[in-house]
Amino acid sequence: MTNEGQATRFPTAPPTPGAPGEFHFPAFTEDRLDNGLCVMVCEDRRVPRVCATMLITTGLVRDEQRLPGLSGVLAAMLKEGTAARSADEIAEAVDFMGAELETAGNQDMVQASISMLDEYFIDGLELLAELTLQPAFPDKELERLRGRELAALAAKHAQPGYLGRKACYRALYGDHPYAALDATRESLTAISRPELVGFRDGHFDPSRACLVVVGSVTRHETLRMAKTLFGAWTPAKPTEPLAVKVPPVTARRVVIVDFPNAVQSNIFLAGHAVAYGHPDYVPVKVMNQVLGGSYASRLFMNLREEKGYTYGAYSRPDARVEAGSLIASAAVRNEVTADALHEFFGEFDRIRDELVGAEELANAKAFLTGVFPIALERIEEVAGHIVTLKLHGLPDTYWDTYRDAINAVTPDEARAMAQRTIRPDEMVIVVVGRADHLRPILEPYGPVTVLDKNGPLH
Amino acid sequence: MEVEFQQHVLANGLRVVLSRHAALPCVAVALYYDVGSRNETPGRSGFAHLFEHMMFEGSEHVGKAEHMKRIANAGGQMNGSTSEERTNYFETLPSNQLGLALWLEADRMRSLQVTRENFENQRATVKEERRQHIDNQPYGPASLRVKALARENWAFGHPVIGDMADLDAATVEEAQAFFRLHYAPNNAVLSIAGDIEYDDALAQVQRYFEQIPRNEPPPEPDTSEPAPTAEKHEVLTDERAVLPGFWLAYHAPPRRTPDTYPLLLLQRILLHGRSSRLYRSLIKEHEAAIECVGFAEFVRGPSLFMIWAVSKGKDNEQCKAIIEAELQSVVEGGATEYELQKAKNLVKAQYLDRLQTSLGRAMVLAEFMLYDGEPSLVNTELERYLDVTVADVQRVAKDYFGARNRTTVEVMPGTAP
Repeated sequence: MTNEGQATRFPTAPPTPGAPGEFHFPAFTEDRLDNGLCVMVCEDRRVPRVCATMLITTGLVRDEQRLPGLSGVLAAMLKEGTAARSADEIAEAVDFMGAELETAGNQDMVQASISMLDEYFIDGLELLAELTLQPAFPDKELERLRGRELAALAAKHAQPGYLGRKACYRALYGDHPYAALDATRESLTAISRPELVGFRDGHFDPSRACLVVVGSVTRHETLRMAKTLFGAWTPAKPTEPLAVKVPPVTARRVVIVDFPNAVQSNIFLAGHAVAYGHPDYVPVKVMNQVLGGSYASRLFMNLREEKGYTYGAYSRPDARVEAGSLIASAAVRNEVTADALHEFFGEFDRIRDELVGAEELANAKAFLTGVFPIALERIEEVAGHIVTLKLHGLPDTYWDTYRDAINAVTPDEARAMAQRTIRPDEMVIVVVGRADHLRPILEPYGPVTVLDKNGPLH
Repeated sequence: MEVEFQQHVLANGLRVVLSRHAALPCVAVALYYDVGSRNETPGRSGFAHLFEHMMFEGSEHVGKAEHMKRIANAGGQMNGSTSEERTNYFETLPSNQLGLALWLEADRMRSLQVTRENFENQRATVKEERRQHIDNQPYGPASLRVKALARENWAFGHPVIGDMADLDAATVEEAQAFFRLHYAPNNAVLSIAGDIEYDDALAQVQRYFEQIPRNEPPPEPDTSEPAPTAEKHEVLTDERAVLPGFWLAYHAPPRRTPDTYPLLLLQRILLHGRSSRLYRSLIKEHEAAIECVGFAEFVRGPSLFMIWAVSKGKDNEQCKAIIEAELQSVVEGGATEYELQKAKNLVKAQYLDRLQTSLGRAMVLAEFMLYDGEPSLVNTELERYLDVTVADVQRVAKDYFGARNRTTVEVMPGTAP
């Protein structure tokens, strides 16, 4: 049906786009305090807001091998009390500023970030300094947090997607700390105040930290404040670095996480890829965009649009400081599990064996280069990109040349990246679903291990 | 901070808002149709949302699923959503791709292909969506029931997602009629924000949209609600729930009335953040609930102020008593200047946060244009919140938190007898 008058003909195709607008990653400055703290400032006056992030790179932490998720618990506890303020007083201060305070920790870093109206910049930065330099880790709040986290963990063990990812990392990383997606019941139960204090004393070091401030501020004022608030920060106690190698996957392995009432099979196909700072990471991203990066990529178009097996099928590289992985996944109806696996492996062979066509490669590049500036409309995103530079030791020009790096990837290079990161014979196959139904389907793919969904998943 | 904009009306009645903001080479397009679940007719609930799905199924020059592919391949992002009072479609793209978004939106406004096959396909998808998000979720059914029980008028009382029986009964002919009735330029607002030149953007809008003919305006829905005469209360049994929970819904005024502003600030005082009154008393001090959240949704018509809590104990009695005591303490003692200032700071921060992105600005402008006919409110509306006094807050607490104004839907774990 047509809602149209006959006067003028509607164009049968969209217009040819003009030249893209000029874009540079926002300019930022970098200074260093006497104690080694790096201070990076990006003045951005589009809205009267400021985002300040403290990144502390830790490297792999010995205690974390014993207590998976320790850094995450420590990060959460930063909000629960300092030498000067109780948890309630911190919450009150954050809410009064109309601010958002977020903390996070993983095997590579701990960070705390606060976004607020620019009129509260000084108060916000003071709070960030307290969290960093004087966390108190009160026992009472640790008990409350433990209760909340144990309840949350129990809830997560009812989510097939979570179980699948957790089992993937376990299988890929073995004894390496990256094997832990988050804390376990055992580590949550065992973590006590001395471990948190020890972590802080051994790893919160100004020379491995970076304060990133983006928004309606000046470099001068930020530096002055940083000197006042962080100038007395002293080096951490020396700790013995943890050196662990990522274990290679030498043969295909199959893991079933038994989920007896499942109405879907959650499929995860995982392999080792590259670390974030590796020169191949951008080419891997481009290759992945062709394979499964979005709703316009091959996996989605095949498994959802053509076959109707699933609501969505994607692949995603997860690049960390020391290593990286690439995981393809989909949740499919039980009865099409075998067919879906067949299509996944067919797509893997195709991207490894055939050169990507010029138009398809151009589309993948256009997506990645196009959405990049769109993300940077938010100051929190600008800060996040600057933090990424520091976390992964990338050059300051990385984001300014990022789109050129994407556009430089050739079809040959994309195929080489697929051959390097997608190795069907050395994959970990994890499927969350009904084990009785899945076992005969998965046995042809390799030796099968069945795990209990309420167990430790390894 | 001042948001600059222009407004235009095309000859066919399409209202257009343009806002230039050239910090980054991006542009956002938001197309709002003045149709939501409140425009549906009894027996055909869920139609507006089902239709949102149909809008991605192809038009004269755009194949099935081609819309999303074209946007992704141009380096953009897109989506759509349906509420009680509008359906919106939006894209953010590199600014040199504005023409693509306008061409795609215009083609589906003028020539959507509502075929039997696509209709059946999307009906099945929406039923899966309802199962996944409502029927198979703990507390899902109660979230729909509270609005239905609170409201006497079906227009705002029935769910956006629709009833299964209504979805089953819908026909492709009705979908075609729905398109003709509601998807016309004179029933829509097109808002564009970002790296644009005003003359060029307007010329492109005219090129793609001006030839689409206007329709008879659809009838204005009757959303009136009789004054409440008695408290309403209902208990549901939910086999997926592990803990008891409950909804409280208080009748509230339409958007942009003098009472709206203090009520929204009061919602923040009671329910936003870990320093809010209810978080402190219910979760921290008494450890009586594991969750407590609130919503103040002000629409064009009678609205609701809602609170949802999940109790830690065997029933909801302790939690309900604590909430009632907190609400009565505002009725009797009001809020402090400090609390009010905190709520204002939060509203200001959230308002500015939304204006950070092109899409946020396009949406805010589209909403003021569609709901209020006045996009300039983008630059003045915040002041209305900042002008609220503690006396206003106490007044609305007195006027709206009475038992007669309240609907309670409780959820108890277990299977129905």
